Amino acid sequence: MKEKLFNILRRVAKVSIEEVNEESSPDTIDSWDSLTHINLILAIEEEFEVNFSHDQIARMQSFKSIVECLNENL
Amino acid sequence: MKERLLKYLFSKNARHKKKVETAFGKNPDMLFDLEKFLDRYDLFMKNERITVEELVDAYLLMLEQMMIARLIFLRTGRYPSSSQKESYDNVYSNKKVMRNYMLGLALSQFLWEHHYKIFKFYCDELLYLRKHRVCLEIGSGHGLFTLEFLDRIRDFETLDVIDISSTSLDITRGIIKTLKLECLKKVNFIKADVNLYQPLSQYDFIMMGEVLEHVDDPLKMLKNVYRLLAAEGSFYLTTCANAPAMDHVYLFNNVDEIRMLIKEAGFLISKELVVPSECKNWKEIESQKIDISYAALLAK
Repeated sequence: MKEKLFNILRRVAKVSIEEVNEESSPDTIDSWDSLTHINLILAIEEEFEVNFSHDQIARMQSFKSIVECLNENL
Repeated sequence: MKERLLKYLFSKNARHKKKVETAFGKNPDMLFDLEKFLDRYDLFMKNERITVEELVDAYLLMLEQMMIARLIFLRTGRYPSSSQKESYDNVYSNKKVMRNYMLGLALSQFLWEHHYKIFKFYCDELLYLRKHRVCLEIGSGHGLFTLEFLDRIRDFETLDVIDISSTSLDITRGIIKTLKLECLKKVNFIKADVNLYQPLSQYDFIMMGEVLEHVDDPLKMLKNVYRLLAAEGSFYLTTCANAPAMDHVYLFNNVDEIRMLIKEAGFLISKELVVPSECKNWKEIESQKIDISYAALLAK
């Protein structure tokens, strides 16, 4: 799952695979802005066929928190 | 106050920090006008017992609500609220929700590039207003457009402010009372639906900012404004396309749909401004359904 998420983050944020890791967040990736964040959530929902709740969306602030929220839905 | 506000905001939302800093970088006046606004708004905040942190929290909550609204919009192609009544029940009639929302929107005028440009367009156009004896504002919202009108138009006779939300009217009244007390006696606050509003005479100038997207039937609304506007009058309108929010109801898919409706209601477009919320080319703006702000000065 994490590998898939790394790939989605890399593709949506338009960064190299070396730039994404488990500590990734808007603080570590320059292109991870508000628009990228929305596209990221949509791409994850599509890939994993899940719909995040409003509460989960509010909690998704970093790669780690995205993994947590995704685990809750799988 | 500006430093305290930005420090707190940026510490809470790193994603948004980038957007705001980019906007400030491209438009240095934004930072200057933010400071000017906060220095003045401070008095209103003190009167209303609102701290800088509470103002930012209200803004952040609005950002979160807008992000959720955007996700719903991109998933379904529809705005989250299905009717004007639903928005009224969930937002306009709820004092706490509405107050937070209005505080957040007020701050967005100086933190969002597209909102800032629409606000500046309005301020500039006010300077060229020819007739402004009897004026009307439909949907005063956070009250900043009202305040700007009072700052720039000194020789008006009356300004009627009509809003469906008593919270909006209270905020606007509070702003005028605090920051423009000398004008208060010339301003009438009316809680009503503009579609049912029957004034005794027509208006020389009507402003209606960010209202059209909140109603079930925007053409009916525009036709009513046409009825209220005097023959030589001016009408300042703003609205938006592809701009989901918790209380937006009517979806304009593009700017041409807005222009068509304006013309169908009988208005002529004297001047207009179109500002997307992201710095992208038009192909990307359309394909990604990026929100677009629209402002126009209209005549009969």
